[in-house]
Amino acid sequence: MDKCVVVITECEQGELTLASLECVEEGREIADRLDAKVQAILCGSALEPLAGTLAAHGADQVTLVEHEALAQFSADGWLQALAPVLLQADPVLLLAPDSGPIRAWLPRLAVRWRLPLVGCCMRIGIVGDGYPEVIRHTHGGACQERLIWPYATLICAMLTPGVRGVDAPRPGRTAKISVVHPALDPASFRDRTLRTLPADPRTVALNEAERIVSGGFGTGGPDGMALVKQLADHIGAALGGTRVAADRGWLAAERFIGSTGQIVAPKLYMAFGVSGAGQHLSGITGSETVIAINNDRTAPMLKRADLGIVGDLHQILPILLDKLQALTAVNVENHSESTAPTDASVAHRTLEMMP
Amino acid sequence: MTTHPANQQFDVIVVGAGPAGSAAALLVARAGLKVLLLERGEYPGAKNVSGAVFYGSAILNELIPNWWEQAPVERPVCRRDIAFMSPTTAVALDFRCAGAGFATAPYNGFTVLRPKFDRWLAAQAEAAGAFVLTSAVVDDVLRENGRIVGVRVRREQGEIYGKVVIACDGVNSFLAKKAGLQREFHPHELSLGVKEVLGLDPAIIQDRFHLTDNDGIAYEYLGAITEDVHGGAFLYTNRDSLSLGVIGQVSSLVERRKRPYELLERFKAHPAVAPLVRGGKLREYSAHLIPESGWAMKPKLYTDGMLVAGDAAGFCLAAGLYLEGMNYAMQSGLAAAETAILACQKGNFSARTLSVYQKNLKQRHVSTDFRAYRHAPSFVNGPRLQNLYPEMVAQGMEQIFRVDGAPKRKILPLAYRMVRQSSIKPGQLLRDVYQVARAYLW
Amino acid sequence: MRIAVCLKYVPDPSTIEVDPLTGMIDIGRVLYMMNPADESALELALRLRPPDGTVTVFSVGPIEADRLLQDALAAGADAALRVWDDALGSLKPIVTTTLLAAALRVKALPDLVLCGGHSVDRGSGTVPALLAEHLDWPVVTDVTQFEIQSGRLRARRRLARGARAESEVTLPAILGLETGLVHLRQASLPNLMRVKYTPIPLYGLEELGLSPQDLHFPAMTLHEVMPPRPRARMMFTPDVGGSVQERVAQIMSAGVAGKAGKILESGTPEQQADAIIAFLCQRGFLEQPT
Ligand SMILES: Cc1cc2nc3c(=O)[nH]c(=O)nc-3n(C[C@H](O)[C@H](O)[C@H](O)COP(=O)(O)OP(=O)(O)OC[C@H]3O[C@@H](n4cnc5c(N)ncnc54)[C@H](O)[C@@H]3O)c2cc1C
Ligand SMILES: Cc1cc2nc3c(=O)[nH]c(=O)nc-3n(C[C@H](O)[C@H](O)[C@H](O)COP(=O)(O)OP(=O)(O)OC[C@H]3O[C@@H](n4cnc5c(N)ncnc54)[C@H](O)[C@@H]3O)c2cc1C
Ligand SMILES: Nc1ncnc2c1ncn2[C@@H]1O[C@H](COP(=O)(O)O)[C@@H](O)[C@H]1O
Repeated sequence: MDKCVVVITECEQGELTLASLECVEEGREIADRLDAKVQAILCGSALEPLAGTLAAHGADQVTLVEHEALAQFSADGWLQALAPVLLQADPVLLLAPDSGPIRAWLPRLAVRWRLPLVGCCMRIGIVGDGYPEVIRHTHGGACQERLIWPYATLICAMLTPGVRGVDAPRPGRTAKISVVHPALDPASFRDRTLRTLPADPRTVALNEAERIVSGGFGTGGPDGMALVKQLADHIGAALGGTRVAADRGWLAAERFIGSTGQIVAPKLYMAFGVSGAGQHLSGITGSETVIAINNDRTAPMLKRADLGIVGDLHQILPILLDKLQALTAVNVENHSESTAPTDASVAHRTLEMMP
Repeated sequence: MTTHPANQQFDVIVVGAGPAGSAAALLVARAGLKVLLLERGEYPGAKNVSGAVFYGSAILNELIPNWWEQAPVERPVCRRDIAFMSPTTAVALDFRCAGAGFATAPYNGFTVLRPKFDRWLAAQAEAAGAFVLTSAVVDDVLRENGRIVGVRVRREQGEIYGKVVIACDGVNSFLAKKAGLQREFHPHELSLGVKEVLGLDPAIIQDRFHLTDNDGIAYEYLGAITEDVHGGAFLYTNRDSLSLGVIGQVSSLVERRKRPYELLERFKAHPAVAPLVRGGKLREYSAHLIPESGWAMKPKLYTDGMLVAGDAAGFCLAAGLYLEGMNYAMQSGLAAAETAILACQKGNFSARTLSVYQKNLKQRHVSTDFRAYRHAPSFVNGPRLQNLYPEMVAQGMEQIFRVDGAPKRKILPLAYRMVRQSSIKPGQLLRDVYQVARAYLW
Repeated sequence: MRIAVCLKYVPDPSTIEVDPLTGMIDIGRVLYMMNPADESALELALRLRPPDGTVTVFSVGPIEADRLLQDALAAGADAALRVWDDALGSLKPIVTTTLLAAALRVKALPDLVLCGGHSVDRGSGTVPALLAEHLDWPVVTDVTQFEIQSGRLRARRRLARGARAESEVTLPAILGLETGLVHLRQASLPNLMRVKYTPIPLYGLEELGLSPQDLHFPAMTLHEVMPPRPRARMMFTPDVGGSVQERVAQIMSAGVAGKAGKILESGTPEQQADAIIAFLCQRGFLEQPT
């Protein structure tokens, strides 16, 4: 049997996490040094569509562990489902993202199997005759340390999300896909996830926001920025901006985006009066859909946009706000029969115990 | 140690664990009295501006023989430099002393890092039996029948009682004001000190400052460094760092719209200073007020049930050649402790009994020094000594040393010409000479 | 309801100075504190404690950790226990949790153990799960809120992008709580004074019924400490096929190559606003008017 580096991957709300892809790529690099294969393991239900992405990022073999009881995360469930799979995979190295769910079950296996376990890894490498070496950060990033394990290759390492970055997928790559249906006893799961709740755009950290509306120097001042903020509130987005806007005090200093500010990866990024300097753009590379409004048709921001509008934001924004208002009014009327409180608001009421 | 001290009466409550408070608590505890030392910081010294020369070695030696062997000291100060600056030049007086109590016991002064030193000193008080409580902000005094009988800590059930309260809570003392002993200061009576600690390799420090072994040097700067803001600057060598800072009178900072850190940056960029601090890595930055007007700021030093010591009493000599506060803080703290002990013995805590404090201060040379230098602050803070003279000295030296083909002038005609060129009137010059003499000579 | 809180004594990161050449920490200048995440864990435990309940605090650490346990007592914890043994070297999470599990058993096992999610020194956030394994209890990590109703605990977990998951777990259980959820309350002056010289019970290996062999677990060896150097992230590499200008342009735009999106150059502001709305609807960011 081939040697294999096992990478544990995760999906959240139906999508592979970025951290998982980073781990697959890290695993690919190590596997190449060890002349081994990369086996990516994904646990959940209805996972088929995600296998291709794992292959495109470097997996040779994708094992999908599926069970309807695994539709939502449970540490006990994952442990029951994955322990036999991992045992059978017999890896030379075990890699996983350093995420909350993984930290809830993987350490337990490490104790059972007496494997050395390291978290907060920045890099996992192979030295000399093929022994693993780990570089991890400590003391809130003030220090780094290098750990080695000179006895075998098998360690259990958790890679800090975001330290590696993800390379472009190679669409041509394929992997052997196998699906495992574990025998589980869901009644024995002591922890269960009941549901997921969407983020609150007003309080969410910028780098976690799903939608961001940004204002730059072109907004002309606090008044212009206030309009941008209104729009953000209206479409449930967080407010961001450029360093120039933050420097002038139009925007809180922790809310500017770019290489020296926040790195963001929202699904929707709207930029008003932002020229699109390299330092700014490098902070939004992960954005999916970009809309830019700028009165200079040569502004780089427009080139980055899925929809670029060449025009004056001071004219467009008030009209846009009016129209959006009218639109919600219509939609609220249409839905007025169903006044049941939303999932989120119920949860807020029952669980609000923090000040 | 006592097990349940809460709600109990202390003999003495000392507020503020700086040099004044810790010394006072130490002495009171040694006398076998119950003493509580309250400090607002998370630990003693946490809030204190670090990096200073402590000139009270001999004083502390009386309390803790050979204290420097166990205390966190940086370097004994064996050299002192005073530099007069113009924007591009500097003239320095260099005093060196290899022995005679400077580089040998009992030493004249040590550079210390305040967070460490203050912590150590408070630990000595604790070891002597003082109850040291940190994270305790005092926000009022408690009175009964007009007499101060304790303090209130900003916490739930924060009232705590003591027969004598010694306020050692530093410059702009909240307690002295609450007790009605001190008035609000005028901005011209206060200076703002901004200070940095720059990390530097000990070997580089020794090379750069021509120091043997562990010896240290203290520089004081007067003149153009502070532009037109009244003040001065200093630079001290620690074991593996430099402490440097600029002190500016609050009123002139406000008038000239200068930010203190701009002055500090200017100071570090001065051609005479830049090579000394090159490569230093910033470890700390802090700003703190200093009482500057000496005797004139002295509050009433005692009232029924309370004494004031250290910076809280204005015992800080910041006058040109001198920047000494810790030693006076300690001396006055000890004098207050002696007074409190006496009052406890007598069982009488009235202002009358506590008035012995004045005698004790005199015995410890605190009041004598401050009376002697009472003229220094106002003069030192005058514009001419602050800016004009140091600059003239520096420029004069430049002209003496410059070789440019022009005929050499003798010093007196040169000086005469410089005075003529400046805006100083001869009468003023004479008065200033007299004032310098009065301030420092007799 | 008996609650245990695990408190770790850690160096305050803001006082840490790292030698830029060797990466060594200047220990002489470090100040210590309660691990920030544990501070909110303690506060939540105190808020949760019913009138007949108890909060007991545990720490594995040297004598200096007593101060932290005293602070916890001053804030309102009912009892404290410190574990230390001179035979212990540097603390690996697996050793810490073996000791903590044994210490928890010294008193009757609690109903709930609260841990911080992460300790700010060399921690890796694995203590909650490791402890769970030793006790064979369930664990929930990355918890931002929780409440208990009729023997079941409901917790919110942090997900990416600010979303939350709501989990349910049976008791007894262990939670790993995020940092900064709440502030630890201020102790009253009498409490602060009372605990100052309160002795904290100390348990060594013998008292816990452990032998040094019980602490023998495989763990990676610390080989070297270094100053921090962030890892270079995967960066866009410009397409070598293009012209020099194109490549420069690509690099200048930080690899965010042009998107061949739609650019609307003309139209009245009104039309442009409509175009934006239509686009948002089309991509599913707005609900289509019906
Ligand atoms: C070392 C370094 C690091 C930096 N890091 C960052 C960083 O992390 N993040 C960051 O954002 N910046 C950063 N910058 C600054 C960056 O280089 C740019 O200067 C900045 O991003 C430009 O901000 P802006 O787009 O708001 O302003 P401008 O470049 O002035 O652009 C304003 C835009 O608004 C448009 N405009 C004007 N009026 C209107 C109107 N009425 N309607 C529509 N459009 C209008 C203009 O056409 C223009 O394109 C950094 C710079 C340096 C040197
Ligand atoms: C930049 C600068 C440089 C200096 N350089 C020197 C030097 O080189 N040599 C020298 O001898 N002197 C120097 N001084 C002066 C010296 O720092 C002071 O004179 C000295 O610290 C006074 O000691 P103290 O005990 O009276 O007060 P402090 O040292 O100020 O201590 C007061 C203590 O009381 C605490 N406190 C305050 N209010 C409260 C409250 N309400 N409740 C509880 N606690 C409270 C504070 O936290 C503090 O710990 C310098 C001062 C500055 C600002
Ligand atoms: N030595 C220790 N003593 C008590 N609790 C600890 C100790 N180390 C870690 N913990 C707990 O475990 C949590 C996570 O720590 P870590 O796994 O080290 O990041 C901390 O927030 C503490 O609650």
